[in-house]
Amino acid sequence: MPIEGKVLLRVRGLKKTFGDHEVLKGIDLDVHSGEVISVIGPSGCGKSTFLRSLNLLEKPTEGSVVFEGIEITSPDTDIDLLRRKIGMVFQSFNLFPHKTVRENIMLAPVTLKVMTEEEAAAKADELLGRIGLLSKADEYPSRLSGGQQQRVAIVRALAMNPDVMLFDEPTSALDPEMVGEVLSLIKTLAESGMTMIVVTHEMGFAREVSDRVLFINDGIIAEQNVPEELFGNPQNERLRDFLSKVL
Amino acid sequence: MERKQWITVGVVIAMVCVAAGAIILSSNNDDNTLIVETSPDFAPFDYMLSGEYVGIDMDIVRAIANDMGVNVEFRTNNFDSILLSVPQGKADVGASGFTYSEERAQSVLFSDTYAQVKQVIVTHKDNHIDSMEELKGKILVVQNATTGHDYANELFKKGGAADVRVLTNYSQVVQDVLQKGTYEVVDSLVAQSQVMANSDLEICDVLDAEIENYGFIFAKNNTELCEKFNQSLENIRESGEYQKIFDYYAAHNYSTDTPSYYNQDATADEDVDHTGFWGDLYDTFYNNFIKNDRYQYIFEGLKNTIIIAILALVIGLGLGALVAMVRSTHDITGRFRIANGVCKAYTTVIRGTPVMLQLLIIYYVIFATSHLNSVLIASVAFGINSGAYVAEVVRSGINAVPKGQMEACRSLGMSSRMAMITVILPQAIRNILPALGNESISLLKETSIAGYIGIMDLTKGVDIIRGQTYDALPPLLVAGAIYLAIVMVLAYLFSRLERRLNDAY
Ligand SMILES: Nc1ncnc2c1ncn2[C@@H]1O[C@H](COP(=O)(O)OP(=O)(O)OP(=O)(O)O)[C@@H](O)[C@H]1O
Ligand SMILES: [Mg+2]
Repeated sequence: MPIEGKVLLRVRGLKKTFGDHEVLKGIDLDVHSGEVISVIGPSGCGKSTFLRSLNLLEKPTEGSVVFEGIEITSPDTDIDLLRRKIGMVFQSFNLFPHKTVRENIMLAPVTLKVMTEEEAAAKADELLGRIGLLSKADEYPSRLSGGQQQRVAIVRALAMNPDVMLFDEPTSALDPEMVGEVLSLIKTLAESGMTMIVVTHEMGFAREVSDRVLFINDGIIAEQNVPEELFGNPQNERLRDFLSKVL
Repeated sequence: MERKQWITVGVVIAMVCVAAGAIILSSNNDDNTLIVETSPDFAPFDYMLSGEYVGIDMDIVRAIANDMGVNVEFRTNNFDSILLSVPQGKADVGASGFTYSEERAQSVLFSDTYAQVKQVIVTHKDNHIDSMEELKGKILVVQNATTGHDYANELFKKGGAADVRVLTNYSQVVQDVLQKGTYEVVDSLVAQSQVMANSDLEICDVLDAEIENYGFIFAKNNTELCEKFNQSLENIRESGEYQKIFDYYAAHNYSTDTPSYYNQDATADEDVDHTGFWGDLYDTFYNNFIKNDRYQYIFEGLKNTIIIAILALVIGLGLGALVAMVRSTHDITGRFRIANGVCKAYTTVIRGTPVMLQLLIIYYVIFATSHLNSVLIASVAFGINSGAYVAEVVRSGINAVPKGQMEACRSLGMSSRMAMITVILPQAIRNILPALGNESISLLKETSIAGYIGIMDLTKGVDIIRGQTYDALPPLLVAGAIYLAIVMVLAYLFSRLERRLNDAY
């Protein structure tokens, strides 16, 4: 476990309740700069809820989330400002259908005035070039395959130059033949030193890319370890049970 | 938005501002001009000829105003509506053959009597009667809120008639008499005029009615104007001007083709009489639309209909979008709790009550003491009505945009307002365009009740023509065709817009 980087994100006692259903029952986690963390666990265990609590798409019921030294749940915090530094990629891509690929990437930097139109367009083209989709810059998302759309969604988040990237099952909505292209982009990103948390069902990917894997079960982190240990020598009985089903 | 689109939006806004400005400026309110309201379907007292207000009432008012040294501006309103707008000061004088009654005198001030009449029966020649008893089992028909209406009700209560049908203007009443064989209860002079205009009608002077006294009406507190009017009425009686006006109309047999005593050169157009099918068709067309420039009622009415529809649509869109934003923002963020409640109440009340009532309430209650032009008030009323429907349409359009769109925006650091403007609304608009098209079409058609607050819209315009020709079908057909044509143009424009948006992505 490379724990040398500074702590970018510190989670303490995070709880989340929907109605009388307690989904997260107290999660503690330190995410270090440059670290790649995979999150696995059975469906409905709260992986998405956990991830979405980190950028306040879900409001934690209890506990604290400190990002780059700032408590995100504090009423004094300008969450919009923090979110610029926390990129997020969704299972269902969520590209803006009424904007071209290039406009999708430019929208946030331009409306938030962190870049001029020209800068944002140049940035978009550079990112699209990197993923080999520059030729699609003027197309609408509906003209792209699922894999292409998800790659555009990833670089759209990257355009804001985030310090951390959150992925919520980025390949689950894809046809099998498109999973590879998206995973390899995420892998490249990981290798470039980006800090990221990836909720995934792709165990092979988690094993290959992560510095650390978290197994969430019943609202807590039931086990966490480097991938070789977690997959090779699982301690938790539920984790063994889970792995036997998915592997 | 593209620059071109901004320019289009700018042009539309500018046009609306100009229209609103023109309306406000055109409402003339200087102290030296009397606003006189009349229901010009009451020949020989009040009617229109080539766009001019004509009749005994009108000319006596002119003579009085002349004596007082002031100008007059005549305005059209429904007979029963004048009894509301004069007390509110929306008009200075009501001149529409108002019979003095204790009941009316409770709410308005009456001038001295300027004419005397008696209620008679008008019916089709084939349905002639010789005595009141023969009315038993017959249907009476009257214009709403007239003394004929009161008389007919009394007779009906005593069992002297089978039923009383109440219509809003004399053209409808005459139509009913001719087509349904009913018996109209009406003032004797009006009766004479109706018979002059239609040879199938006849007067049966069989009622035991009392002599009625006509007076001009004023607001209760306007005794000053009323006294001046009485003084001038006395003056023109002494000068003989008064008698000359009466004699003049009598000499013309109270025909609806008689021009104003003060504008006798403005002779009515000759009747035409061609034969054969095409000849008859031409005559009908000529009579309804060409003779005495009657097409002007249609042009003027159409102009008002379009102004009201456009202003109301703009108000409705703005208001609807605003309400939808407040409600959606509340749904998403929980903010604006009170505003949200207000908006919810607004849409519930407006969508739960008839637009007709809303129009009357806004005109006679909310804008009761306002002197704003009634076209503007109608636009506001229809805009407020439309806004409630637009709000629901926009809201459902916003709700139809997947939640992930807002989340994607928020995760990039955009505020919910920014996300709304740049991402949610543009997609919502495509969802709601068909429903907005429908809303603008029904809005256009709903403006046809504007006549109830004294506006001459297209529907009221053809009503006035009917009041002069006593021929229902042609004006109604033409009005229908015009509405239909506008609706088809609107539907075409919206479908093109829809196609353009659908092609876009
Ligand atoms: N907005 C919400 N309101 C009520 N319950 C919710 C809400 N969001 C999630 N839940 C519930 O919380 C639990 C955890 O949901 P979550 O989406 O975090 O699970 P997950 O681990 O991501 O599952 P999956 O693998 O299926 O994506 C589920 O039981 C879900 O039904
Ligand atoms: Mg999930």
